[in-house]
Amino acid sequence: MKPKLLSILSGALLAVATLTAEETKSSIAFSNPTEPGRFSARLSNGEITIHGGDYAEVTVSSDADGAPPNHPRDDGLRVLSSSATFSLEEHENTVVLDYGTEGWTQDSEFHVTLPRHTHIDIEIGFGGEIQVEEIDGDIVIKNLNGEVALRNIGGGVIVESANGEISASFTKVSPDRPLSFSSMNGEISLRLPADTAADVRFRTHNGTILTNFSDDELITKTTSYHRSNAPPTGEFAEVAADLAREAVQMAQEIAQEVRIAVQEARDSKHGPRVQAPRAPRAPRTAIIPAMAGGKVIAGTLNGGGTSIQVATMNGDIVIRKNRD
Amino acid sequence: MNCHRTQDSFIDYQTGTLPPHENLAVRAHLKTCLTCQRQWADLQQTLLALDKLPEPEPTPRLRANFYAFLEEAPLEHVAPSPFALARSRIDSFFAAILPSRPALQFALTIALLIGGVAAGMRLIPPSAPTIITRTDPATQQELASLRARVESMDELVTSRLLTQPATNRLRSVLAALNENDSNDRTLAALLNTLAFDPSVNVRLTALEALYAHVDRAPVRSGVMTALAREPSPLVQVAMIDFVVASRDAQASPTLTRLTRDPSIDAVVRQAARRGLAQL
Repeated sequence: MKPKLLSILSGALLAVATLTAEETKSSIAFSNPTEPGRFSARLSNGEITIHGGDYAEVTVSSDADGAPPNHPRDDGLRVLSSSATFSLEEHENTVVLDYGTEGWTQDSEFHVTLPRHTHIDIEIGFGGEIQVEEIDGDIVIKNLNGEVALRNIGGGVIVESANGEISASFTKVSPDRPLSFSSMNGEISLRLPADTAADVRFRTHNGTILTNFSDDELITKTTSYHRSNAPPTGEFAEVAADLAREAVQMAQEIAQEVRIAVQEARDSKHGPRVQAPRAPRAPRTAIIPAMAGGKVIAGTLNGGGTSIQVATMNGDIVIRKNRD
Repeated sequence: MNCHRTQDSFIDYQTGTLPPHENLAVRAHLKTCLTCQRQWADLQQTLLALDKLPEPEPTPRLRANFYAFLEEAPLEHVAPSPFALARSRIDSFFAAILPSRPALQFALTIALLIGGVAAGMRLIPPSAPTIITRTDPATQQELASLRARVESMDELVTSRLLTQPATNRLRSVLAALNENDSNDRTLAALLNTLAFDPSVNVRLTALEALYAHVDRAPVRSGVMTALAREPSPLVQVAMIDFVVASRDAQASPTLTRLTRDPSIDAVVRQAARRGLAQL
């Protein structure tokens, strides 16, 4: 009966441990709160949820133990080797949350609140769910397993994941804040504002690319290689010709716009102000065609702007318009 | 058989070592020859008498004589060769210098070594510090401006790039992609990013930026080299697309190696096979 007794005892111990698991709350301030700080989370495993808002400092609450270096036990000794502690430190406007990078740790949950304009950098070794909401800073996420959910984001995003869905919804997409998602397995779904202007590059091997943007908003060119229609000459000639045609077309459009603007200025003195013609965009560079299976889609959304790149091996890519 | 020969054969006949026909001949002769019979009888008597003699016991003096013999023998007959002498001397020399108390002797040796090094360091004065001449303000300003120029150079080539957050690195690569300049330094920086950047997204973007320059041989060979070392299947498939689209015949051996490497993702191997089919 010994093994049975042992399992009962260990079950009881676990139950007690989980029941009495306390939440630790730890706060730390940025040295320079006026500048967007950086929040870096390095976890071996566990869930992390980040809420941005009008907070003055970074607050982390977790069911893991914070590392209070000044709290000795009753016998006067401080525990240095506890395996379930996280550390929260700040240095030159960067707050670092470190958990379990020195050894195995149990799964823990972290809830973080911090100022909205903070830049976020999360790396989870083995994986866990990541949720980030209401952040306007740049977000960089590296995850192994687990869902990544970003909501109401206003800045640039780079997500690299192996397994797990990635879903991101944006309140604002700016030209100098690129978005890039890569995943091996798992759907990548984006929700963008309807007026987003972007250069899009989607690449998937075994998945489908879906969108609810209309044909004239999202203009794309699909390249997927089929042996039957292999071009007899090199791809170069084709691509170079395409680019040349585009450049010529653009030059013509610009000339046209300038002519119209000048005409309008001449016609009405007190008329509406002359709108400067749209600055010519450099011809888009050729996209690597899918030669070895897979699909590559390159195109522009509402004329082009921010770079949005999505690459996945086995997942679907879904691009949706924000319903507002 | 005559008597002479018979009597010569008596000993052999006695011991039974005669060949059979001679055996018979001797026996036949003995039957008829009286002289030989008498000789044979004498022989038998002599042998009997000999058998009856008592065995001589070793005298007590034999033992003393024997040991005396032993003592004398080496001194007389085994003269020590010069080599043996030398070797025995060498052996005893080494036996003397080998540590009989290894721990103590080792410790003393180390102590002596450290003491020697410490003494040497104290005794030998340190080299005089190199004198830095103060530059005049003009030179200083020039140095400062040069420094600023070097720092403001294309960020991709400086090692600071890798300490930059991923978003900045991505922005640098996107700038190169959009500007589309075929500056050698930019291309080298892009190849560097492709090979060494820790982020999959940045590497993929660098590959796409390089595609505009796929007509340059160093770019193609750089991508092929990086393909062999690339850890992410996503980037590997994109690189396969790249080399196949470039229609470079030199890509075939690299792709063949990929198809055969069992440690590579099955999807990548399949992509390499498809790519090979088109080269």
